[in-house]
Amino acid sequence: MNPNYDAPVQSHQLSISGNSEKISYFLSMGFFGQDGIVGGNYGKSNYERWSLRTNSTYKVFEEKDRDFVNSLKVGVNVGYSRDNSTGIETNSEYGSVLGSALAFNPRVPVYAPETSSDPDIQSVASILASHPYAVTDKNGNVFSIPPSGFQEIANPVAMLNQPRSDKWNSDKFVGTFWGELDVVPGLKFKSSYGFDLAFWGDDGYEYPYFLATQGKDVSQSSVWSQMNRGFKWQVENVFTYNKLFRDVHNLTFVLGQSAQKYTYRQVGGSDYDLLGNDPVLATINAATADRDKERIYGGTGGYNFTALASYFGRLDYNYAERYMLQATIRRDGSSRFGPNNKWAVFPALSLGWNVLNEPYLEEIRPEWMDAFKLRFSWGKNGNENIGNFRYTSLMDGGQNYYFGGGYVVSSDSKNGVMQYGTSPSALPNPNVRWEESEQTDLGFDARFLRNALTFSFDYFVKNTNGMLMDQPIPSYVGQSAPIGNVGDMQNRGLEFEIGWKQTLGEFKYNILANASYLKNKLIKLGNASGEAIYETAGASGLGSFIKGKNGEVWPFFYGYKTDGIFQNIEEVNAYVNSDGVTYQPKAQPGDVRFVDYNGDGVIDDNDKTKIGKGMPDWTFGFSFGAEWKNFDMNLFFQGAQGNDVFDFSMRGDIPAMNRPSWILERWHGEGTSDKIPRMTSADPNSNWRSSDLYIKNGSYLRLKTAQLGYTLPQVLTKKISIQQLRLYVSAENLFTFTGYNGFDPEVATGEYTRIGVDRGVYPQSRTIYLGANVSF
Amino acid sequence: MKKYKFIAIIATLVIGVFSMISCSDDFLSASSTEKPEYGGAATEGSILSNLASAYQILLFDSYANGNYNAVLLMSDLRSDDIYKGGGSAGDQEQLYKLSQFTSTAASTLDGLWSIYFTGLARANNVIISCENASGVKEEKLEQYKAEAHFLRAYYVHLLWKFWGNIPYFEEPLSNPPYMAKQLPADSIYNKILKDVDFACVEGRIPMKTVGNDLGRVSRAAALMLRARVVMYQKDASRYAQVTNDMATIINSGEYELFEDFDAMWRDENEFCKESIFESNQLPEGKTWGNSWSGYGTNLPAFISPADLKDPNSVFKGGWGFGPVRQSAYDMYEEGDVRRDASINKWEDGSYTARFQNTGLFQRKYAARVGYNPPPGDVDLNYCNNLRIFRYAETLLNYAELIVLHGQFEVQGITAQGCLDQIRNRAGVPSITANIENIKLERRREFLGEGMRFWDLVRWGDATSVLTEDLPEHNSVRTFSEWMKYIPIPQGEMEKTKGTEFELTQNGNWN
Repeated sequence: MNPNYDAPVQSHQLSISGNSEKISYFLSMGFFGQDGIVGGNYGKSNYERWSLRTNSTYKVFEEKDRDFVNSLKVGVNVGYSRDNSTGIETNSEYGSVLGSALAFNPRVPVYAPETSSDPDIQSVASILASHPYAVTDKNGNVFSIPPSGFQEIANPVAMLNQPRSDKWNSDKFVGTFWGELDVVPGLKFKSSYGFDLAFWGDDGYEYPYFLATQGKDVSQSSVWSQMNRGFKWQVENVFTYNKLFRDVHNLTFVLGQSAQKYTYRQVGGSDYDLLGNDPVLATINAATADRDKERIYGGTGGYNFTALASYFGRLDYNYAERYMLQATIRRDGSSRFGPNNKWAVFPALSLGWNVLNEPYLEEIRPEWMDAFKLRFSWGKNGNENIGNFRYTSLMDGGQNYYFGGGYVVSSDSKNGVMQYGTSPSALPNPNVRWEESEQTDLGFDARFLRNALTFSFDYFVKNTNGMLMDQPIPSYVGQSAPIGNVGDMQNRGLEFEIGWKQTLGEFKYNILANASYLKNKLIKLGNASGEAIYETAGASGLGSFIKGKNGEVWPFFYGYKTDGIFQNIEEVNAYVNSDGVTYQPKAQPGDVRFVDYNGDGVIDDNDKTKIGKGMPDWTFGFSFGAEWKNFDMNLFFQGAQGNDVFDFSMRGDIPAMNRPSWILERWHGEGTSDKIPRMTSADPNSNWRSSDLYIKNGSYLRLKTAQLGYTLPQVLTKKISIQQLRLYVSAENLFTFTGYNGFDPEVATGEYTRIGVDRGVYPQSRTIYLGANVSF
Repeated sequence: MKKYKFIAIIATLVIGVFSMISCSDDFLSASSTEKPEYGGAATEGSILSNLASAYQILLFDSYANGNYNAVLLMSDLRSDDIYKGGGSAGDQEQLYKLSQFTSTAASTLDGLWSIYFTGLARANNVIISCENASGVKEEKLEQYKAEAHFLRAYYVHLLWKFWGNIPYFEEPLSNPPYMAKQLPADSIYNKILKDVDFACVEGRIPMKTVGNDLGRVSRAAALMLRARVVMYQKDASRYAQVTNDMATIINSGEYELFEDFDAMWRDENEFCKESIFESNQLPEGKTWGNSWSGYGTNLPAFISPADLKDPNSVFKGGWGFGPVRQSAYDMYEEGDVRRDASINKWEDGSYTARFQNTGLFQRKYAARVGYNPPPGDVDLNYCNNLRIFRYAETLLNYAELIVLHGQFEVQGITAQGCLDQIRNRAGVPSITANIENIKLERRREFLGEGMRFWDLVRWGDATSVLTEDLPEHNSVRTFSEWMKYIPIPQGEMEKTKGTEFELTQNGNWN
């Protein structure tokens, strides 16, 4: 491929702030631009962002000589940002650019040769004869096409040169207007009104192209555009009352209310057959296809609005910085739930005890110990993050059928009559309600040696009850599963943080290290079996490979345990159960020996078990900062331990595909490998069904950022009226220590059930910044 | 005094603000702007919409719920007519396992299962909405009900043939635990028969649908489905009835054999005079991302040879699945037009050989130039209608009922006459209507139409014919009677485990 190894990144920020007696203000503007490391040099993965922001506060009046309604402050915060971006499909083994780069036949050159006698490599003339729309570069050089049998896998460089564009844009305005009134001493009333108005959409076109026979052979140009508008308003009214009684009892009451409403509108369209090949003319109005092929769509997203509302109250009590109590209660309502369950109440309580502030400990407190605080908290939270109208069943449309005739090939026309069709979508669940998580936390903070050494510790248990998920019901109901408050999950963990700072003359440094341990357990999946399969890749012979089960971490990788490779036919025949029956009669030397995990005498799906998990046990971070004279330095390490990667970057259904280099160490004769099976297209043993052969250790330690800065002496900069000028060089992802040999052990996947599954992820880039901070 | 007054004013204002935006339930009651809620008035329009969605299931099986599960191919993969083919054994591995009788619960036809159960659910909705109809003419209602009963019987009969013992329900499973009892295959047979009997009653739907009703279920289709189901069940108590049904279709004069066997499979001869029921596919709308939409079929791309260069530019290339066995090619007599109309024999070099290649490919539904015009995901959107019932089957059913199952000839129709018509159209001389000849004729007539395997099963010939040892073709397989039902998908088994509705796996599968 041709990765964009030296992809530029730019980031500029300019800000001004100031204060006067009545007014304070802050103004800023920024720019950020980044070209992706895959496709960025072809305009296919790029990002730009401009932003403007202003915050200002104005004192309307301040009367010092009366004790009621004595001050009113108002403020406005307004921001605008504009994003432009292009992107490529990632983390898919089905013919994404990276997936293709991994799978494409490496013997095939990027550009097609003038002549070729190799059946896998076609010449320019032969490609153009059968595929006049073969992709070329800007100089007209024809790219090679994949050999037969590569399905939707295409030449990745050709994919980046595909005559296609899809540019996303977004304009976003956010604003808040607020006012704060001192009603009587201690009592404040704050009211705010905020809005968030966003416009976004994309404009794209595609000219005819040929990349692969399966799904990437398009002979008609097309164009599309869409515009979306989302508007949210939010209002909040809060009373705060604060009073200190007898110098020790500090009491705060908060009482408030908030509400928000979101509406959305969309319009878009598409059409075919563009005039000519000039992208300037790639607009819908320049498309010439029959009117029945164009398509317009629009609406309000299927809902007239979504809304959230809350009432809340809080009590804070602090006794002489010794005992602290905070009690909160809130009542939240959401439009996403049915009439009976819109509202839910969520209480929370936290307690703190600054042990060393007790007067009776004043004398026995050791010199080196500065503070020790015990903390306890308990609280409930809600989640309403589901689609709209899941409590009822809506009629899905567009399920049409033609009667009275259909498509006529000879005239390329239709003569039937379409009957519009509908059927109920998901099954309803009128009882669906807020998901609750209940978290209890116990911990302490301690500071020693004049605050140079800090240490904190937390133990927490978080129980999520009634998780909002599609109910795991059989698909034979013939409709989508209803959502439900089905599962219970528990997360328990420990968190440690230790810090140290010291100054040695002109040298100052600090160290901060944290580590957290998390143990996740699915308590109850909400169905009778307590098990569910989440991911299956049957077409490529993998089978089901991600599962959830009561009492286990959720989710986990699921497959067979293996026990090496059969070295010869005697070993195959000798692998028998207690009745003397061969376990794997179809196996050949070089095939995988699977384990009869449940010991029932046969090897079948019941022997599949937990073979790994994508979630780490430990995550940790470590930062080091130092300053010496005008130099400063920062290092930040990050890592994870105990997580596995399911390395699914190799597909079983394309025999001729390129493999990772470890395939060179495969079995190819007795004694050559006891780990990697032979290559075979017949594969009678299904060697690449889901098993621990896919599982790789995903632990890593990464130098996430490193920065070195130098601040120019003020004596120099003042002459050009610069208050401070700092130059720096910084790097992201400079080093990674890992045993994983894929692109990136930090497999970033969208969906939670796919955590740790590597299907050719977009790798993180190593970025070097040169920068300057200037203050005037 | 002034002070308190001022506070009072402020307090009032504040309370005012609160009440203005007071969050009553109205504030939180959003409405759907695109889709009506389920359970509205059952007008004629809503019944017709429900009915269309039930018909729509006919369009889905080639890429069923994301799985390449075309019902014709899924039937034939287990026959002695074709191999699995494709890129390798691991390419669509569940299909290879199906063809080798080594399916597992984790590797079975999940797509077919969910598609036809959805068909059951949608047909149920039509029937329920017919029962709640208001302002619909009685005769129209009878027709819609009969169509829905037919569709339910047709979808369930596919589930019944593939799985046998299946859960069954006639009301939406909208209450916890959202499950239905699994019934033994014989009970399912009775349910199917009840539905199909409803549709067969004279006067509910016409013997043949024409004009704007082309593509709708006809009474002939219902009679054909009854014959298929009764004959598969080997229900001798119904043989006389279905024999008479066949004679009724024959004597109705509404159908006859189409003269040109090869041309019959072309677009211009869809809904021809031989066609009793077919799916109405159009080349649009199905996408890789959504297999539950659109009108096209993927089957032609799936079964056509890879990288085909047809010198006559009639056929197009595809994915190379389902190559035809040499023995199937060789079963035709000299001059039988059906051989070259059913099988494409391509020269070496005109296509790329793939797994289990024989050089022979299915022709009836082969990908043809012009049958999947852009735009869209063209591989998924061929317009070939799938012929579900052909008049040829009526004739051969009749002959079989007389000759194999000892029924009396009725309505003046002879078994020999039926067989002669079939052979005459195929361009081969008459032969005696005996058991062996009728069986062989069915195989020759319906190659690639998803009939052979089921025929072998019901004739009791499957074990001997399908067990084979052909390592050179990567087909070493043993068939036992219990294997006629394939494994129930693992996910379905697990979701019912531990409940009173726990599914029992078929046969010895696991």
